Amino acid sequence: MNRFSAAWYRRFFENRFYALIFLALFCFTSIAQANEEKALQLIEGTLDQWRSDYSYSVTEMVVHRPDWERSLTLQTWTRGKKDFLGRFTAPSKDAGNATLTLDKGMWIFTPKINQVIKLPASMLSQSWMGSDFSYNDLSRSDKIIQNFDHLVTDISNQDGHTLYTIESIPKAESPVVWGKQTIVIREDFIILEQTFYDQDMVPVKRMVTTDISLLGGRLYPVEMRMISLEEEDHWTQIRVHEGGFDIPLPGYLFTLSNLRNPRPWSAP
Amino acid sequence: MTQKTLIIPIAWRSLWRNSRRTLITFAAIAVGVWSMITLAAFMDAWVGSVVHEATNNLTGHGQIHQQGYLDDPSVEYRFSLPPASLDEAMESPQIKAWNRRVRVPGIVRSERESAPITLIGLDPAREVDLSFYGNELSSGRQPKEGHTAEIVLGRRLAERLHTRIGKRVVILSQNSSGEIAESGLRVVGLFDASLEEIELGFVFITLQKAQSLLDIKDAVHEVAFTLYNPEEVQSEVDRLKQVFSDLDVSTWSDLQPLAQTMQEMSAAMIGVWTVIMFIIIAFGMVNTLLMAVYERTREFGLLQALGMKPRLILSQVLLEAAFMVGIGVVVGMVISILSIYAFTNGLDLGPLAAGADLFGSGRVLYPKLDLIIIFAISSFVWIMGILSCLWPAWRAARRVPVTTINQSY
Repeated sequence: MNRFSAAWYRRFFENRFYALIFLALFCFTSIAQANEEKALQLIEGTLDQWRSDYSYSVTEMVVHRPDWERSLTLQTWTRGKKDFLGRFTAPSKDAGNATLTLDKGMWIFTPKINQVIKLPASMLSQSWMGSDFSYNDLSRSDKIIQNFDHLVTDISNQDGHTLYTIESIPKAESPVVWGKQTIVIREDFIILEQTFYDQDMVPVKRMVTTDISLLGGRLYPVEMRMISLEEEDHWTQIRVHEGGFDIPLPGYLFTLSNLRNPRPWSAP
Repeated sequence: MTQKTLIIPIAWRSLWRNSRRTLITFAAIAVGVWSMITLAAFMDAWVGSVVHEATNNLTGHGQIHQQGYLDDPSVEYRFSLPPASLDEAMESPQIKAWNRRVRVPGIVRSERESAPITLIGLDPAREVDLSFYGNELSSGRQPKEGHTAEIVLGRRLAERLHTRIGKRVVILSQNSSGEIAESGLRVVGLFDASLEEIELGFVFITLQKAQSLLDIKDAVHEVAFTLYNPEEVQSEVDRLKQVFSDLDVSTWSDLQPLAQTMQEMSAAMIGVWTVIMFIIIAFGMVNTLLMAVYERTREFGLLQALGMKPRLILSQVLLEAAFMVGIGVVVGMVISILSIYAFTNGLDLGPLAAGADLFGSGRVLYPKLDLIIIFAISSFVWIMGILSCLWPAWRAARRVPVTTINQSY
């Protein structure tokens, strides 16, 4: 075939054209994949930063409403990505109320009735101790990884840090009522903001980090505030006063018997 | 004209000697008859509505369950039959429609609210002639067949959850191993029901989706059926009891004892009301007739003195009574037929609907013209009315002519 014939050009051009499309698609999917991986890595990193293998903390929670405000103190322990134990220590009215989350279930203990109750899953999304946090927010489990598809939608710089904005869309059939969540995470896995949207993509509530300090030898979002965007002047603030990470916690902490009859444990 | 036929015009004319009194008595009888017939019609409509609601709201005329399900309607009390044996048993000339259902308690959640519900998995096409769910949805469509993550809610439930067609809700229940079964489902349709509790309390998904969600393979919780002739329900249930000896087969009146009780109570109430009204009518009538007879004491004496037999006087007074009650009853019948007819398109209970719901009746009542009831009540009043006038008639007939003629006023 003549090298410079019209047919040759046409074929070459077609080939180039297809090759380009192929290349573009390849780049696009791999970028998308890389993007998803990055988002997942950031969220896993954040969960890990929060919980480590083991973590322990003393937290003060302030529930604010237009006409009242109350403050509660609780101790929390976590193990792995799922297990969580929280017990209130103050005020005395609420002291002793405890919540235990294990892989498949959540239990609460109320000293007033001296009963351990298994929480139906329906309650997991309900308010915890009258605050703006749900039981789900509280246990900070890895359900967010299973139930959502995550994508980095924005990268920005602020005060020498890189901020990643992640948009999390619930997977089909996953038991999630939100339309989406947006999460802002710093490159060192400090979560700065998490916003919950309803299915009309109207923001419903937003959690913002208001103080980042050293805690147990690492930088940690020690003060966070969950703000209701639907009701004026409704917010709940948690401040971690004391905390430790990767201290091996005894297995008995995460048992139903310990939920009911707490065995003494103190940070080493 | 013989003596016997002569008393007819005499009785008729005597009625109009004191026309005001007669008209008032007519009115009393007419109103009494009207109240009996209309009350009966409306009670009947109400009971009909209660029974219809009870059977149409998923109960059917009868149901099959696992033993124990009715006491504790949870996922454990399921049953699974080879499809052929169920088809064969339900293939009866009596059975109009039947369907298999998964039916368990659960919770539905939206972004803002959650609500306890009964989760039902079924094939909607088979609900035609079986329950209200066989009717068209008020908006949207039915879930696509198979394991589709789609759900139909009641309109009011959707309002309560602040959700709508196209949005996602989460369903929670307990699966066969006692763990939490949950799934996100898209709302694809909304249904309207005549009872608020149905609209708020039931959600529908496909049978396959329900079975896979609860991990119960091909088991179901309920088989419901309707019959061509509801009267045959007991014999049909007895037959099914023999086929499925280890299952619990029940009639609608076992399942909805309240509706059954309402039916009995309303029949008793109609009876009591009829008797009370009749006693009132009877007093009025006897009083009128006693007066009429008393006024004509001299006349009766004279007639007897001229040779009229007491038996004819008795018949004459009774004939007067028959005319009086008869006209009153006919007028009452006409008014009641008219007033029932005025509501044949339905009496909307409107603001009372919440109260009607409480008793399980629909929001709109449809009174029917039941000619048998109308004639039964009318003839009862008529015959008993004549009978109660035996007393004044007898008093008129047994006067001694000499004393009555000489009696001066």
